[in-house]
Amino acid sequence: MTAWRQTLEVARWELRRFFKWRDVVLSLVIVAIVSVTTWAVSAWQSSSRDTVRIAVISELELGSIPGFELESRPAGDEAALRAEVERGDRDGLVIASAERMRVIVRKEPMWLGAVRTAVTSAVQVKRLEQLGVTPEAVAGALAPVPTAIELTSGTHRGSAKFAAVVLIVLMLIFLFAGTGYLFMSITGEKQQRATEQLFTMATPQVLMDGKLLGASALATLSVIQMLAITLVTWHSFSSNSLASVLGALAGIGAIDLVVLLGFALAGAAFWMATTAGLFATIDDPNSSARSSVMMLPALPLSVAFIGLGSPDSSMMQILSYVPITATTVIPARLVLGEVAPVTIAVSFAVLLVSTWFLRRIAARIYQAGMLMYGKEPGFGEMLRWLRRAR
Amino acid sequence: MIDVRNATKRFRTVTAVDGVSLRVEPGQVVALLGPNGAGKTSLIRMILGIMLPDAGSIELRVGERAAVRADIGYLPEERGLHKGVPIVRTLEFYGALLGLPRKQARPRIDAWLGRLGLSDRAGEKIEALSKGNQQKVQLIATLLHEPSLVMLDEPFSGLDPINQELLIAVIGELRARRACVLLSAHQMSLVERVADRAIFVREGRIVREGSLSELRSDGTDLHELYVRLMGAS
Repeated sequence: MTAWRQTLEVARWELRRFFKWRDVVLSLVIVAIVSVTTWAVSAWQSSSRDTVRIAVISELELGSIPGFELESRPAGDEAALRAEVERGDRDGLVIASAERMRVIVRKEPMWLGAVRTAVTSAVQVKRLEQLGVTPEAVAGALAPVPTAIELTSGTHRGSAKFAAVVLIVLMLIFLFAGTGYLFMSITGEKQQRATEQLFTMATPQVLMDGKLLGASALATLSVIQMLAITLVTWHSFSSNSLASVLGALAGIGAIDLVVLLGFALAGAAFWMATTAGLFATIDDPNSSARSSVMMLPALPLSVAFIGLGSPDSSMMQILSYVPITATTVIPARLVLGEVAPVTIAVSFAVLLVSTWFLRRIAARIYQAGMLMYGKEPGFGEMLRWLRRAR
Repeated sequence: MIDVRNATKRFRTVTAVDGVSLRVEPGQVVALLGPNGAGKTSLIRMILGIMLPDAGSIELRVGERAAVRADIGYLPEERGLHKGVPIVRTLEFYGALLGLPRKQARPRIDAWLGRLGLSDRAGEKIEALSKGNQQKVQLIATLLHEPSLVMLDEPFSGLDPINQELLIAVIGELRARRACVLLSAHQMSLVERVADRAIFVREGRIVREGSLSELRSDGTDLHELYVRLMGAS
């Protein structure tokens, strides 16, 4: 049997070990319950929100505030209105002039901001009238210059940035799901002492490659599942959201999409190979500090988010060639900035070569680490394993 | 044929295996005997290629050709299977890794499960089985692909007397089909029933070896010989 077919067997095994339709259905049901409950609570809150009853003693024209019942009263009623507020018969009393505003309430209310805005607007209108300027004239003077952007290529920055954020979030799900499955697979296998017999059936490299492939397949399914759940849930709250996400993603060209997928897959392989070897050295996943290695893939994602504001800065250009960050920096720059084809090619080649060596290192550490029980090797010992492995 | 020449394995300051040579011919059952930590498992792991010797050579052959993975069956001392997976799927995977197609593997799996009294539990997950039954499943994984070179590290431990008898019969069948069998064990009475030769290992070195008739020529049984060889300071 060829090593490649063995690798596929291991990948298939990993996929079947962890992917269970029952779990998928269960998570969909839970998301559906949470979504429906959230929607119902939100609708209930909107429909059951009481009107805020406020008495206003003021010569200002407050107009109307949605959700408020404003009752204009003369200053002589102040004592009686204070008593109403005290008894809870009224939500508040507002005494406002052009100089100051007093709000009489039993407890500091959530609606204070809306009333303050209304009073401030009324005061501004009154002052402008006193200066002989109409509000329309002021609005016209302060209005921004209308701007139309005509792109000769690419998409508008807003939708491109949105697409970049969507892609980085998908990458985040992929990386954390993939390393999560690897963690469960390797540490679980070590705890169950299930690897020694497998070492006589396939090389550690085949087993490692199969695990990386299986974890990638599982992570892909997780991304699809999360994407479907998120979009459907989101769509149920806002009918425009689904269209905007799909529209933003559709704005990415076919060639760019191939490059993005290439970097996503190679980057996932890079990070999973980086973490896989270390997982094999964990003796007890419940107590080992090395379990936090799972957080390492957050590094390229945080760098990409930081760089979104300035995708072609010198920092982002340098990080494009570093395999640790290239996996997210190139996609972000591709969508938001300008990347030369040669940069993409060199960056991708460096990423692939690094990944190739990392998976070999991972297999060697895996070979020795999986048979070491009761203690965790130091980095010096791991280096010795690498030197002594065939 | 298993041919080990002057194999040595060191772990930092400890020499686990020190210049060991042994040979197992087809149709022969050889027992490695010695206390815990004597170097038996390290020696078996070197023979299997799981770890490399620091010195010496190891050759595995089937007839005229060098052995491949599919020729080897190994039951490790550290027993363990993936607990959350059904028995049949586990065995199919192990068979598939060694090139045994699922269609071909299934009748063999069913036959082995029947023989070892696990037919009615074929669909259950490994974790639902007792330790002894899990060991039987691992034995099936060791022998499913009909290997020519079989290494059993403490195969009798954890088995009740009835299953020990079953294992003795299985080892007899391996001998009959001219497989090379190398096993380690602490149950001298059982070793006397299955082995053709015995090798006593202490602190990584062979301290005595020979056919069972040679070893027992002075009237002592293996147990007495073991105590004499291993108990001496």
